Amino acid sequence: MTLLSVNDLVVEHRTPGRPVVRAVAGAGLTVEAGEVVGLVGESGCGKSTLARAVCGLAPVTEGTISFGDRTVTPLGLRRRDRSLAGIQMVFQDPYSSLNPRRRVGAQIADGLRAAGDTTTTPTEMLERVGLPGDVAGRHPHEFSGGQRQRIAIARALAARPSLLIGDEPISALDASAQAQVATLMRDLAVSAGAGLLFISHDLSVVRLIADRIAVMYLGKIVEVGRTAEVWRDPRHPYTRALLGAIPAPDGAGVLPAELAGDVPDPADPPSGCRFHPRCPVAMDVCREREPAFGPVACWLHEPR
Amino acid sequence: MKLPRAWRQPLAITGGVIALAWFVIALSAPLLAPHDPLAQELPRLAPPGPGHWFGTDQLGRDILSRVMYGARLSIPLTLLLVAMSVLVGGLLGAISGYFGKWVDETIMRFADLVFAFPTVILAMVVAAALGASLANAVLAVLVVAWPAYARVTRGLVLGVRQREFVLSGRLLGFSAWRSLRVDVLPNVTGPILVLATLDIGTALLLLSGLSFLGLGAKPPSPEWGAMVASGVEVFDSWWVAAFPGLAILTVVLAFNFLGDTLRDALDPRTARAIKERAL
Repeated sequence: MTLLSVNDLVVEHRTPGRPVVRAVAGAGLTVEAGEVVGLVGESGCGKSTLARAVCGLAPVTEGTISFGDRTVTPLGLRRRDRSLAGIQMVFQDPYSSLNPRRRVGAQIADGLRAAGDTTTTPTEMLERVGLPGDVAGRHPHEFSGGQRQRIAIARALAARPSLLIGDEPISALDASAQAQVATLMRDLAVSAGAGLLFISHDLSVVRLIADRIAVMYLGKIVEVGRTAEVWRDPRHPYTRALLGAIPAPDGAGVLPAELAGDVPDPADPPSGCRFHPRCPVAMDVCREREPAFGPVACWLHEPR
Repeated sequence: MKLPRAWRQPLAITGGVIALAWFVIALSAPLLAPHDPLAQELPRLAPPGPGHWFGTDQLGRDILSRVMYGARLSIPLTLLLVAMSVLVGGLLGAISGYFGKWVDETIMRFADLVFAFPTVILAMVVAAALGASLANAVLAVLVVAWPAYARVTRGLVLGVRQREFVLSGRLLGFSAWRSLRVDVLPNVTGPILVLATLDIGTALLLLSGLSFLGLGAKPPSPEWGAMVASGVEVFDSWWVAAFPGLAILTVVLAFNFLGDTLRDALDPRTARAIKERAL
């Protein structure tokens, strides 16, 4: 059975006196157990909102999120449903993802308690993420960003999740720590048999760890495919633009191609295909009708 | 005995020594005071000098003795008052900020109601309605003092509750109360404690003001605020108001120093700086 399936998800942000913003506008996505899915896209395209909705931290306006045989319900003031504790998240900012007043060991112990795990110790969890076990008695401010993110990963994994979500967990880290933390997340999640939904705007890291890639643009998934295939043969013009924007370290001095324009305002999306104002190969049909199909939501790749 | 590092700072020690001195004076006033604080047997309005170091007031009472006895009234009542304000206001503010919606609206509208009136006037009205006694004066000041703490706590809680570690805790199955207690409240106590220590002076003066108006301490009892107020009537004899005023000043200063130190000691991030500055 599919571990996580997001169907036609719509998440709207409502602010009084402002137009409703559709951060996620009908996105679909699946994650299987033991699979690593990379979700990529520009800032403001709704990646994080989608991740939050999967955790129950953002209200679902339309569509459904199924986790195993359960439907994810928004987290209100009540204690989170035990059956949903299998979804855990590692957040973006390592400086605010740990409680500055508590020792890191105690915070990891919270995760162990959530799983009813009485045999594992916080020390063992710290060692599992590559930190010395004797730092459990320290406070978060004594660690670097990368170390904090490892601690956050240890806490999330201590709850024995079957789905781990990384919401840009490496974007705030030094370049040297990014690949390390990303591969650590992948290895730990896969060896535990859990699925990993890894959100990032760094395609080169996603390529390194993801089995499948989902590309998001303005609240919609525009292309999904096996990582190697998408890398070799990107089909959606947006995916091509994203891949073309990666600097090539080949010494040839070829500057990456830049995608013209900015992401449109999600409160006022363009008609038809949401990408058409920036698309180099836009046709008449793109301006009029939305390509509501997959795995590549582009009129050039309409399934027959 | 070795003090924890955070308390080995010059200001912390100064504050501690002054506060300790006042506690000793308050406890042993009957032994230390040279005269009966209520006896009207000395020359009236005598300037400070041998025999009566702080002079005497317009009724011929020894001001040094009255200041000493005053410590037994003013200090414990002020501390009790501020502690109660922090508890009541802090708890209501935290609930308001964390739970939001109608809970927030209800509590904050009550706070607005209190803010709508001038502090002293409202305290007077409440004290008068309850009947004139020092205990009722404390209650009256509590009624006007809690909204400030509720406001500050609410704002701080609103800022902290969306932080990612609070969300992580909720994802791990923390109940709202556990989240509030473990993740939110420890991260808002610093500013509230500082506010409380700064407020000790205001609370002391407000209590004294009520006493002066006849709504708190009854006239003969040596309450510092009432003594300052009565000193205003005899402005030429500066010592009548100056010494109880100095008493208030030193208490306020001492608690400000202690409050700052407490904040530093509670914050693990300042721990390293403290180690470097420690005596």
